[in-house]
Amino acid sequence: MGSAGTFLAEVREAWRYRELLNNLVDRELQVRYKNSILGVIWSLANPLVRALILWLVFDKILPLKVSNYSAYVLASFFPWTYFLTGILDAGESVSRQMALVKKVYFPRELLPLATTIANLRHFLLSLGVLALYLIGLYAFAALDNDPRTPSLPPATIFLLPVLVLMQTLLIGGIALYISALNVFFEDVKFLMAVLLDLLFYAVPIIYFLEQVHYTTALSPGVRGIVHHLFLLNPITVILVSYRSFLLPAQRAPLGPGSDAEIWVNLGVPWPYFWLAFAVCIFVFLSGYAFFNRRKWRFVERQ
Amino acid sequence: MVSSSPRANAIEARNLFKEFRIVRHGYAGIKGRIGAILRGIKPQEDIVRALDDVSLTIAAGESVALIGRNGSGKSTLLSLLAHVMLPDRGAITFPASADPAHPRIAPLLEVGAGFHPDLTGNQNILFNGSILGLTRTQMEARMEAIRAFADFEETAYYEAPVRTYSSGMFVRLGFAVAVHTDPEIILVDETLAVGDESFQEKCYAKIAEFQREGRTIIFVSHDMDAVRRVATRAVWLGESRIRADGPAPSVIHEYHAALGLPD
Repeated sequence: MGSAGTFLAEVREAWRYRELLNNLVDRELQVRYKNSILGVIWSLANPLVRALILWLVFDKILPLKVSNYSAYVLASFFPWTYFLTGILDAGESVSRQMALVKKVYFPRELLPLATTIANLRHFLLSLGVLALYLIGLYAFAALDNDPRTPSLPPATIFLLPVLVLMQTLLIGGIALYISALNVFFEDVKFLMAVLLDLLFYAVPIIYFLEQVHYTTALSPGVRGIVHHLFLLNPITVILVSYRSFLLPAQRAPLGPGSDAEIWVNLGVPWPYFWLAFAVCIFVFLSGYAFFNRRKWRFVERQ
Repeated sequence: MVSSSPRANAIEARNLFKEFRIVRHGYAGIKGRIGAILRGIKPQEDIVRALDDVSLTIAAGESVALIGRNGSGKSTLLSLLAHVMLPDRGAITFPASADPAHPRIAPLLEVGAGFHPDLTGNQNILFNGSILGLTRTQMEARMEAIRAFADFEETAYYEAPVRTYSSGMFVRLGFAVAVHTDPEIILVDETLAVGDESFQEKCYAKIAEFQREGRTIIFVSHDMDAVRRVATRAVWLGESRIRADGPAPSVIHEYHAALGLPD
């Protein structure tokens, strides 16, 4: 049987165990809230509090010349949280279950996939909070006849499911890689925590991609290269796209202390979007293959 | 019970080989690897041969004990049968199973291994069942029987997180779930040594019931009284090979003679 045949056989075998996958996801969510009575309310509380704080800081306390800045930050921040928790939870998804893995057969890839899907469910809840926030924002803009904010979101909002799918593939792929590696090298999960901490500043969440493109801190040649490097990072593409699919472009200051205004939230050029989509599919498929090549050695690790 | 008529075999294991590599560094993980490279040390690998050309055929409905000293390969063989490990060479098939590609095997090995400490007894019953291949509906139909078998003093315990359980309760619930999954093959690894006497008797009774129902049992134990009680046939593994295979009393006798022990 060729490697493609093996791959399909393994996918079929995992599909046979879909009910177990569903139960693993449920268990993940039950454990997270330790069966607390508030349950789902807790998963909503976090994004609600986050939205409130960012609104206070960016729209009420800091005098930034970007209207509804908190909405722009949130539109990237919630997807970022999905990355962060999805990757951090996946690290130990296999190594924490070794007692079980050593005794009972089931497709091992279900473990990292279950943490990914559990985090997806959380993310969808936080998107619900974001939707309420945006409905309020657009409704107020329509009532006020605010010339800076249109009363409807961009038409690309219909591409949101594509975006969620590609992000989930990327997170699932990374989860498969690091959960397998973490069985053999327990340092991996610490390494990921440090890397993600740094990455937060290297992706446009608390700033706009256009501010990197036109920054005066770098010479024009260098900033062009930096801008391209940003666009080649699929995480940047995903975060920027959430923002531009949900919120309008607007004029904003180039940077603190600068009076120059530029257009921000223009989104990413489509070729980069589809390139990132292809990268996400590749990361998922290669992660699946990487994991499956190693999964039979998990229990032999001495 | 030795069946005289030839029946389909529950397990056919042919020419199994299994080796383990044990890598020795100062530290585990990436740090150890890098440290070893920097100091110019080649990582030392010890190769341990756990199974060396082991073939074994077990008829459906047979109860077979695996005996032998620690490190003789019993656990490795059991892991291969449970399909949590793959052999380096050789193959295992399950011709008598209703679905030979997916035989229903219940490993009663350190039962409760899949329990999550923060979930309640009931939640863990349902989850453990699904790990062993049963649907939620099937498990819900068996809840009463499982709880009756575990036989906790107060029903409130089933709604409490299992981290509050005593080790005895933990094992009882784990065993209760595993024996209610309608297995074709049951793998037992020393689990009978735990629990109080009355629970042990209940476990022996369940095993006897399994035997009457024609299920296949593989039993690993160092307790020869337990082996004589459960198994009709014994397989003695020594130095990664099969040293003897036959009626339990005579194989135990040979084994004890080799160890210089009285029967």
